[in-house]
Parts: sequence; C-alpha cells; structure tokens
Amino acid sequence: MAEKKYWMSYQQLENEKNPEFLKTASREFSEDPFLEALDETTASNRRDFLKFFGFSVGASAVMAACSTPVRYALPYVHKPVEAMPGIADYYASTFFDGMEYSSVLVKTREGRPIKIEGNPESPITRGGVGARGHAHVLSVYDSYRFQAPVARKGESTYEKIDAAVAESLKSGKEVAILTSTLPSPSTLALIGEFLKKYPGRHVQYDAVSSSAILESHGQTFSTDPFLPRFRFDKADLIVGVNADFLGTWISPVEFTKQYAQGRKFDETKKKLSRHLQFETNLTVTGANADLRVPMKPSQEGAVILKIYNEVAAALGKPQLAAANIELAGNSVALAARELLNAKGRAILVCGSNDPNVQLLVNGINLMIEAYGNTIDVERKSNLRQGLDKEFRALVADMAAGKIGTLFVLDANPAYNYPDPQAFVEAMKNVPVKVSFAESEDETSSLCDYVLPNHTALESWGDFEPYVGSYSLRQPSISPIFMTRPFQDALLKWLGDERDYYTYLRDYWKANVFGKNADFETAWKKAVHDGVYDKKLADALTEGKTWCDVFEADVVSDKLPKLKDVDLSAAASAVAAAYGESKGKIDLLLYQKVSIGSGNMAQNPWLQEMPDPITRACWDNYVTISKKLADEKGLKNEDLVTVKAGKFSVKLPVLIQPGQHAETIGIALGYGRTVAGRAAYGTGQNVYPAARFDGDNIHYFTSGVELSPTGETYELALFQINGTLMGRNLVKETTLANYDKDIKIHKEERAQLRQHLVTLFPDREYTGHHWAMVIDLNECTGCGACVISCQVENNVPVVGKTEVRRGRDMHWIRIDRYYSTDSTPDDPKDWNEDPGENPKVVFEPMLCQHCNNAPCENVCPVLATVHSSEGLNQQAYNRCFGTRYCANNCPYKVRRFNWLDYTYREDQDGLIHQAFKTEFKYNPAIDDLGRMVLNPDVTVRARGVMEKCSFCVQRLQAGKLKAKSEGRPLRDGEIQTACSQSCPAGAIKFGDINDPNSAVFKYFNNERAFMVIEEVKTLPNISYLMKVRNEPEMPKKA
Amino acid sequence: MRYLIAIFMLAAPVWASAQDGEALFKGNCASCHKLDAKLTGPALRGVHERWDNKTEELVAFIHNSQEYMKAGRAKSAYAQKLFQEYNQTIMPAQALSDAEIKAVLDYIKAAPAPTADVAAGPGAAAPQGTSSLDDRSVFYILATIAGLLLFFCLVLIVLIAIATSAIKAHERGEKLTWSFINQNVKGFLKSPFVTTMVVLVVLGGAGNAAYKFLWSLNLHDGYKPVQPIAFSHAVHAGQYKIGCQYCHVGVEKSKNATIPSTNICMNCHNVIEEGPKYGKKEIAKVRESYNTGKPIEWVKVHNLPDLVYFNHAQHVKVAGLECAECHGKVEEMEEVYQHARLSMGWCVNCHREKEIDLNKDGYYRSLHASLRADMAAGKVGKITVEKLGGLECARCHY
Repeated sequence: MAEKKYWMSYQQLENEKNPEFLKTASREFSEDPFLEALDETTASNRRDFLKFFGFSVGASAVMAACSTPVRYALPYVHKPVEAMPGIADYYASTFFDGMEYSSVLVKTREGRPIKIEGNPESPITRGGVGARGHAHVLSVYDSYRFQAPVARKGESTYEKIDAAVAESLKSGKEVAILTSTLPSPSTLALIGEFLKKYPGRHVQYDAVSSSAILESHGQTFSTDPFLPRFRFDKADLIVGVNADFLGTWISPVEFTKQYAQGRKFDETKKKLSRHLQFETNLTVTGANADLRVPMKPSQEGAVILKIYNEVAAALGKPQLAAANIELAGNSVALAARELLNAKGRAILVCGSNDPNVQLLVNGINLMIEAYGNTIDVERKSNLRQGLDKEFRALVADMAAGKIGTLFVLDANPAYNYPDPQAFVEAMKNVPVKVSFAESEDETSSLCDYVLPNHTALESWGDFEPYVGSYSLRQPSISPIFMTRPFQDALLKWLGDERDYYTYLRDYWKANVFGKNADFETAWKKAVHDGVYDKKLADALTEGKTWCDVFEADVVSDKLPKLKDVDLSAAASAVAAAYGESKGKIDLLLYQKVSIGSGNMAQNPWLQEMPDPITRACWDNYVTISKKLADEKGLKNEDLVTVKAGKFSVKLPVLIQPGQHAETIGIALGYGRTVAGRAAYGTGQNVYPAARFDGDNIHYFTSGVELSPTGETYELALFQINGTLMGRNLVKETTLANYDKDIKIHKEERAQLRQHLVTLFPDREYTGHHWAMVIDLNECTGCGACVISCQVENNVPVVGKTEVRRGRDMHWIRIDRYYSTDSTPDDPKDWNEDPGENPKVVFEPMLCQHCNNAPCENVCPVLATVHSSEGLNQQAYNRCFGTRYCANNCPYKVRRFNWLDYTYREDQDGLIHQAFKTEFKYNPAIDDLGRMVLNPDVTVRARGVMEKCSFCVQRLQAGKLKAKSEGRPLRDGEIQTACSQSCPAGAIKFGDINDPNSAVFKYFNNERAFMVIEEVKTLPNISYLMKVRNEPEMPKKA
Repeated sequence: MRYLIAIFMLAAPVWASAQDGEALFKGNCASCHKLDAKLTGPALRGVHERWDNKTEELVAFIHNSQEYMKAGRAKSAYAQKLFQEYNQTIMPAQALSDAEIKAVLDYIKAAPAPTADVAAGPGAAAPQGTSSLDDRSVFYILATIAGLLLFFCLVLIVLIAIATSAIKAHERGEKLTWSFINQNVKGFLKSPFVTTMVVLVVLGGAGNAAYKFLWSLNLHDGYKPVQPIAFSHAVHAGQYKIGCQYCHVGVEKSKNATIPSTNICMNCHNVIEEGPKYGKKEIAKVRESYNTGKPIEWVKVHNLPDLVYFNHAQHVKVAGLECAECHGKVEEMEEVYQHARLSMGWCVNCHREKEIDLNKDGYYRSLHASLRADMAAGKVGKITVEKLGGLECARCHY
C-alpha cells in the first residue's frame, strides 16, 4: 500500500516533534479547575477542603436519613388500545424544515415523542434521517415556544385576534402569504381557495435560495420555473461544483442514500461510482470526492463554461465565449473528459445561484444526456420553490403600502434576507402583520399578532416532495400549549366549518387516491406507511413495502419539447462576470451540516454537534487557507474583521486545510438575535454579506478585506490537539491498486494476528456475540449517528466552555483525518503545502467493546466488566470516577461527567452560579426538555464515567421481543441508534456468532481491519478499508 | 360446673346459626374487624358486653352507624365516642338483614379464642383476655432469659474469681480475706483479656447495627402507603378471585405491569356501585375519575431506583414466575405492601438459585442445547439464571 501520512490538524503536523506539545497532547482531559477559572474568589485551600469534606459527610448522612419521596403512579383514565406504558409506539410522519426532507418514524413512550428514526418504507429517503431530523424531536419540548397567541396591542386571545385579522382581510387591500418552501399539496390548495376569496399572493421564500436552478430549468424546458429530481444513484460519474449535496444542498439525506448506492464496494464486481468536486470550502461532499479541486467561488461560472466548451468541442457542437480559467492542472478538462466517457450515466450539479451559470449547467447535462437518465424532469421536485424575484417584488409592494395583511409562516427574512433593513422598513408599511411562528424569531417580533402554529410533531400535514410521491405527517403528541395549525386559521377566515384534518382527508379523497379506491382503507394504509406514491402504486404487490419497489421509480426519458435556448448570451454574461479575480479574496457563505440556514439554531444538540470538517461547534468563524493566514500573519483563533462592501463582521480565524488559497468561508445560520437560549451568543450573522444583484442572491463576494484586530477568541473545537503517535489508524486504497493492496493487507494482517500475545485468557461466547462493522467507503461523515446516539442515550449537552476544555460527551465521534501523499519534507505532485488540498477519511469512533479490554483490567471497583455477549459494560452506580479506564483506553472513547450537567434550574441556592450560565443548554435542565429523555437509559450523575453501550437497552428489548414470541432472533432485527440512523448504511450491526448474519460476512471481509489491532485489544468493531476510485490525477501544468 | 353446663346448653342451638355467622363475618366484616385485634375498626370480641348486651341497639348501629349516632338512642354517645376514637372513620352501612347481623353477633360471641387450649371447648372461650404469646411478650421472656444468663455469668465470674483467689491464697499460704478477693476480681475485670473482649463486643454490636442500618437505607420492605382509594386486593383478588392480569394488563407485554386504567375498573363498577365495606364512597371515586377524566393518583408501592431496569414481561412471560414470588400473597392483602426486600442482593440471590427450564424452544433453542450438553458432560451441576448471564451488570443497569 502507498505510504501516506495521516494527520488531524496543522498544530499536530507542525508540533509532532516538539516534546512540550506531545506532553499535553497525550493528556485526554484538561486539568484546569473549573470553578476557580470562572470565579477567582472561590479559590480553596486545605481548611476549605476540610470544611467541604465535613459538610459533605454531614450532608450525605442527613440526606440518607431523610425518607425517600413518595412516588405516584397515574394510570390512564381511558387507555387507548395501542398504548401500553413501557412499550414504545411508532408513528410515521415527515420531517421537513424548509431545508431538508425525510420520511420518519416518531418513537413515542407514554404518549411523548422521544426519538426520530428513519422510515424504512419511504422510497425516497429509505430509512435515512440526517442530524437535523434527529435533533428536531427537541423542538416540541422547547420552553421558548409560544405557549398562547400574542397580540402586541390588545387582548391576546384567539377570538379577538381572529376578529381583528378578519377585519383587516375585509379592508380590500392585498393579502400576502409569505412561507418558506411549502411542498404540502393540501395547504397549497387551501391557500389557493383563500386567495380566491381574499385577493392576494402566496410567496415562497427560501432562507438560502436556489432560485437560479428553478429559473434556468424553466428557461431550458420552456415551462414555469421548476426543480428537477437529481438521481445520484443512477450516475456512475458525479461532478459537483460548489454543491454540497451530501451536506446541505436541496435534499442531502436522499442524496446521501443515492450516493451511497454507488459507493458500496462489492469485492467481486469491483465497481464504484466516481465523484469529482470543484469547491471552495472543504465540505462533506468534497471530502468524499475521488478528486477534489479547490476553486474560488468567483470561478464557478468559468469552470462551468470551460466544461461546456470542452464537452461541446468533443461532440462537435459550437463553442461559446471562453472565460479565462486556470485551475489545478488540467482538472477542468479532465472533468469534461470523464463526463463524456460516462455519457448517459453522468450528472453535473452546481450550487451557484446565477441563472446564467445554471443555464450552462443544463446545457452540459443535455449534452451528456443526463436528462432522462440521471435527472428526472417529469418527477419535478417541490423541495425548493423560492424565487428571489418574487420576494423582492413583495418587499417593494410592502414598502409601497400595497399589502394590507401579511401572513408569515416558517419564514424569517428579518434575519436571513441579505438586506434585512429593507424588509424591516417595508414591514412598517403593512397595517396588519400576522406571524404563525412556533417560537419568537426576528420576523415574528415585528408582527402585530402571533398565532403560534403546532410543531411538526403535533400536527397533521401532507407533503409532495416529488410530483406524485406523497408523504404524510401525523401528530405523535397532543398539543402541549395553546397552539393552532396555520391551516385552521385560514379555514376559519374562509368561513369553512372544517378543521384542517378533515380538509386534508377531503383533499386526499378528491386528489390523491384514484376515484375507484376505497378511501378509508387507502387512507389508513397511507397514514400507517407515512408515504404514498402514485407512480409506484402498481409495482406495490402483496408483502412489499414502498421502499422495496423504489427501483421501479425509473427516470422518465420523456423530455419536454426543447426550445433552442441560445446560450451565447448566458455564456458572454458568465465570461464577463466570472473573469479574472486573481489576487482578490473571495468570501463564500456556506451552510454547516448542523445549523444549516439557522432555522433550528436554538437546538442545543445541533449547536454542540461538531462540524464534520472543522470539528468546531457553538460558533461560526472564518475558514482560511494556511497560505492566506501566513500572508496576513494570522494564527488560529485570531479575531479578524472581514469587510465585504458595506458589511463588516468580526470573527475568529480557523485555518482550514483544503480551503482555496485566495478565499475565506463563513457559515450562515449563526448570530440569531431573537431565538431560543441555545442560539444566544453563537457567532455572527453573515446573511447581509450575500450579494443581491437585483434578480438573484449570490452567496459569495469577491474582493473582501481582511484585517487582524489583535484580539483572540477561543473556539470550541473537538479533536484538535491530539497526535496519532505515529500509528496508522485508517486504511485506504484505490480501485486501480485494489488487487495488489488487498493482497498485502491480508498478508500483513495474518502475520500480525500470529504475533499477538496476551496474559489474559481468550473469551468464548456461547450465546450472542454483538459486533459492528463500519464501511469507511460508505461513511460520508454527515454526523447523523452522533445526534441519533445523543438522543437515544440521554447524552448531555455541556456547553461551549466545557467543549473548549475537551469535555464533550458524545459517545460516538467521527474522526476526520487528512492525508497527503506529500509531506513538508518531501513535497510531491502539485501539492506544496500538505494542507493545500488534502484527502479526507472519516472514521466513526466509538467504544470498540474490546474482548481484551484495557479499561476493564484497571477498574478498581469492577465498574466496567465484560459481558457474555461481548459487551464492555459500564455500571454507572458502581463507578466512583478514578478515570483509570479512560486513561487506559487506546481509543479515547470514554467520557467523564465532570459536573452535574443535568443541573436543574430550581436548585438555585445549592449550586454555583457558574453552573447556571454554563449548562443552560442541556435539554435535561428544565421540566419540558426532560420529557425528551429516553426512559430506558439512566441519566448519569456527576463523577461517573460513561461510554457507548452498544445500545444495550435496544439489545435487551430486541431479545425480549424474540423470547416473548418464542422464536430465534432474526438477523438485523436489532439495530443500534447509530447503525439505524446512518443514511449511507455504513454502520452494520449484528451477531457474529451467527454465521449466516450479514455482519459476520462483513466482519470477515477481506477489506476488514481493526484500529490498533497490534495491541491485541480484540475489538468487536471492525472497519472496512476505504477504496477510492481516483481518475488519473491531473498534473501541474 | 353448673354454669358450664348451662353455657353448653345455651350454646347448642345457637351454634348452627353461628356457623353461618362465621361466613357472614368473613365476607362482610373481616376486612375491617378482627375478633381479638384492632384493625380498621375495634376488636369485636366482647362487643356484647360493651353494648350492655343490648342486641337490638347493636343491630341498628351495624345497619347504619351514622344514623344511629344522630338518632339519640340508648348507646348513641358510645357510638360517638367510637367514631372519634377511630379517626372519625365511619363504619359504612351494611346491607344485611337483622337475622344475618344477629348470626354474625352470635358467631362473635361463640367464636373460639385463638389459644392453644381450644380443646377446652367453646365454653373456655368465653372469658376475656388471652394467654397467647404475642411478639411483645416473646421479647420480654427472651429479655428476661438474657438478663438471667448475664446475671449467672457475673455470678460465675465472681465465683471463679473467689475460687482462683482461694487457690492463690492457698498457694501463698495466706488467709483468704475479702479485700484479697476484691483485689483479684478487680484485677480480672481490668485484665487485657476482659477489656479486649468488652471492646470487641461493643464494637461488634455497633458495627453490626451500622451495617444493618446502611444496608436498609432506601429499602422499604413492608412499605404500605395509604392509597387514594381504599382498594382491597383481598376482596378483588382473594374473595372474587379476579386474576392479576385482568387489571395489570402489561405484565406479560411490558416492563410495567401497569396500574389499571379507570376504564378497566369501570368494566365491573359500571354495575357495582356499592362495596361491602365502604358502600358507595370509595367506588364513587373511581366513577368520578371516569367521568371527569382525571386519573387516580395511586401511590407507588414498589419503587426501584432509576438506575435499575426491571422488566415484568421477562420475568412473568418468559421465565414464567408467579406474581406471588415477589409480591407475596396479594390476595390476602387488604392494602398492598411491599413484600420483598427489592435489594440488589435479593435480586441476585434469586438469579443465583433459580433453575431454568432447559426445554424451552424458540429463542433459547441453541443456547439451551449447549447448556444441556454442559450439564450432561458434568461441567455444571445446576443451570440457574446466572448461567445465562443473569448476574451481568448491563442486564439491569444501563
């Protein structure tokens, strides 16, 4: 295998030979005392120690002598037949937050949702849910939500507000309904009816706009603007240009599922899809690409134009005006060549919001026959509907006083419009403004009335993500507060007696199911399945699920009649706009996988989720290349002022390998001013840095200025100071070298295993032997498993300060390793700086459940011991916190409860003030948030070690189910939270004592390796080597 | 002797109805009254004497005690006193005929005293007071015995001391004097041996007490909270023999046996409005909950700490345990109390000792086959839950 150097951060790369650095790097836990750091006056001495000691002994004696509190058991009055305390119920529903769609199952216990899981019946997301979907379950328990209607003036009751709004509707002035993308057919029909009675308009507005793709498709196919359906599963070659389709672009969960299909490596067929990515910031998508080429955002158009010309030239078609573009080697030409080679099996996607660029993209996709093969134009997508022009017109009309009543649902332009001031001013000229926000945001605070909508988990709803493919949303908890569905309000003002649920049913009766269908049966099935698909209905035979027949969803090759669109105008515009920008610094506004557009910024799980690439959380920052940082004399965490036109912002710097040298990137979605408590004090809002050219919003600006302030700001980073100690923790190869490398790998492993010795006897397992296999080829690093695990296992949120101390609590982390063929001492290829464009490997790391576990041998109280099923068990109540185990764990996966993170707000007197500010984020600190806790998992106390349990609660529940039903356990029946949630299916779990199990085969796969196998920890987790399908690498010109 | 014969003669005709009286007593009175001990109501033996043998008054009182108190009859004042004495708990009205009440009274009068000398015949039961040993008297007797033993020990020590002094005096050829004896006894009592023994005994006792105290922390066997409704398992499970699972529907499916929802109560109490003891009062609470939709706030009797996961289905459905193995004879409990200790030691003990059925199929097929093979090979003697990993931490703690 090719010798590669793996590294985690520049600090490590530069300091690895520095003994001082190594001394601190090997220390897992930060040693600085907590309270003293926050409050100098509490420094304690020996006498204090004695005092505290005496007090705690006394206190514990008193506490012990007190009688235990009386506990009550309240049964149901009328027990629903399906509800059984202690047993979870699942309801099929839909997650869509305007950014991301997935069909989900909501797990409820005793009538309260506690977890969101993927709906395996869905033919679109096929059981996948992203991190945001998982975290969304907390939204219903947000104590920051509106608990009743609000009138800024007058009485806050539904009757009064309804009457006031009805009065305004009758005024004769235009009504405007402003929503985020609304793919709900019944709601759209209802809005249509409403606007017939009260003339006005419905404007859909996306926080991060994709309007150029919609418009360009309208132009190319001479139709209304529309979004086609991208089918990455049909593509053997994928080229992405600043489109983070595995992270944030349009429908990341669905795309990850499709993408993983092509990345699943079959040892016999040895076939993989190939992925080339041109991008500015290093994204999850770029990290997974076989070839990633750093590019300035101001080169987007030029890259597309050059690909167009190359493809056109090869096909003998007329070329267009050329733009001057100089990118790494001949990578653009290479992309064009690859696209042509895979004609009919290739796809090109671009994240640009310039219609001219998108027109050229469509032109390329037409030439390489993507339409009808990898892009479906018949199954139009409804997942993005916002058109920048429409919203701009609305703002103008509002300002001109033409709008009499404004309804706002799920849209927050006062925060995320590039010119928020224009919107705020325009709002002042609208007499009656009604918000349907779930919780107070920047826009709702400008509204006269707030009629809070139900949260997704409390409401009915329908979705049509793709034409003809439906999914339903059903409530899984009765409304907690005095909220009301948006649609009920519309129906009321329409004078319709029905409620929305009845309206929804009536709509489906009339429009969704065929005329001949038995409605009740069909409806019940649709509610049960959560999905319904007109196109797949025929393929759905007895005993099959919608997901089983997803392959029947073939891409329609019937293309709409094409009008010859003259691309030369677009090409000249692009050539002019994306000209030479050498020397200028570009600012790219990107979205993070966790925070996205910022609409869920108040969710503490998402705030604390480390970014897959930068490993930072709780803030946004300026990602900058090493070269540029050196030029400007910047170090990590230096505060800089970024000036883009009139807008300027002060943020810390994070030196990011892979960042294009003349660019910086800042994440959107931070700096919310009116949002729940977790969103406060997190970063800065950079939406105003987006450029609005009158037609479209561009999420980059060229020629920004960067000036150091001399101050620093500490970021909350994971996995920053470590060192690999020279060990090879990941293994990878390429498709071309596969046969050669796998032979070496097998030999090396066989040899290694011969030489492993231990003093401890081998274990034998007679019953189950749980094991996990993680395929590094399929893992995209998206982080869905991290949040899924956090929700399932009641993992606390610790807050920014604690993360800075390295006291994060996640049981599973996704280690991100950079690798470079060249090293600083030995520069090879066109890489001079090892971090200029490194390759990336993601390696999910969790407790390896070693059969020869180093942690078990050192626990003085036997709090961590091995089970007869291969689990490394942790008994919280036996643990007294020596931390020997964590010290002895070579994988660093044990987490220590330094403090009581579940601190309750009502214990003011007893607890240090600092706790209040620090742990305010943890959902478990208030009574409402606590309802999300999994009742089957203990909430850990201070001073206790914890770690991945292989979801032992699920193992026990699954075994019990089989026992109760008197049958053997079925393979794959039990899934851990991480394996179940992985949208790419990279994590496989099962019983390796069953030779027929899937996991047994994966475990004994030729690509299998174990992390630090040489120390004979004998893990129960095996990894499968990553195989890259690299094209012939471009050479330096 | 004359009296005895007379009593026998009187008792003979009564005896037949007193037999019915016994059944009536058990069915209607026994949940609140005992013959010889206070329960919810007073001990009933001697009730005739307390009511001055005015049977008619007594019958009227039993029919409806509240009315009787108000009516200002011969013993109304006494009834008032009883009412105050028993925390103002009324005795519910009894839907029995006069003849039935008289039969019960006759039974009370004639019922044999629960002594060892029942053989003496019903006549012997007549006198008040008993010679039975209750816990208190056992304690006194044992304490007296212990005291005597201690006294004898002391005497023995003194005697031994005198004897040794005598021997010593004899050896020295001195005369045995009181002061010499005194000196020797003192010397003995102050000797390192005695001091050590005393310290050890005191320390041992204190240690033992502390050990027991600490182990009993947060263990509540015998815990018998007052429930919002005076629900009697003795009546429902004992007398009417309603199976446990009729109400506790979750016991074979879920971790929780579940407290029955009000609609389950109403399956029967839709029709049954009145109970034998409390009349409509307690059942009215159930109906109120049903009508208002407010759940009944039962007090949890069996509380496990949050760090323990216990699953009823595993024990009842899979392992086939009887409810009584952990909950005791609930069908005899008027108010449910915690029968088992519910300590970890108690759990583990059972997992160590309980032998499992090795003929189970389905899930257990291969696992049990290997255990049977081990047993046949003589590797293990007894296959208990422990052999299936029943003592591992993460079976109950996660």
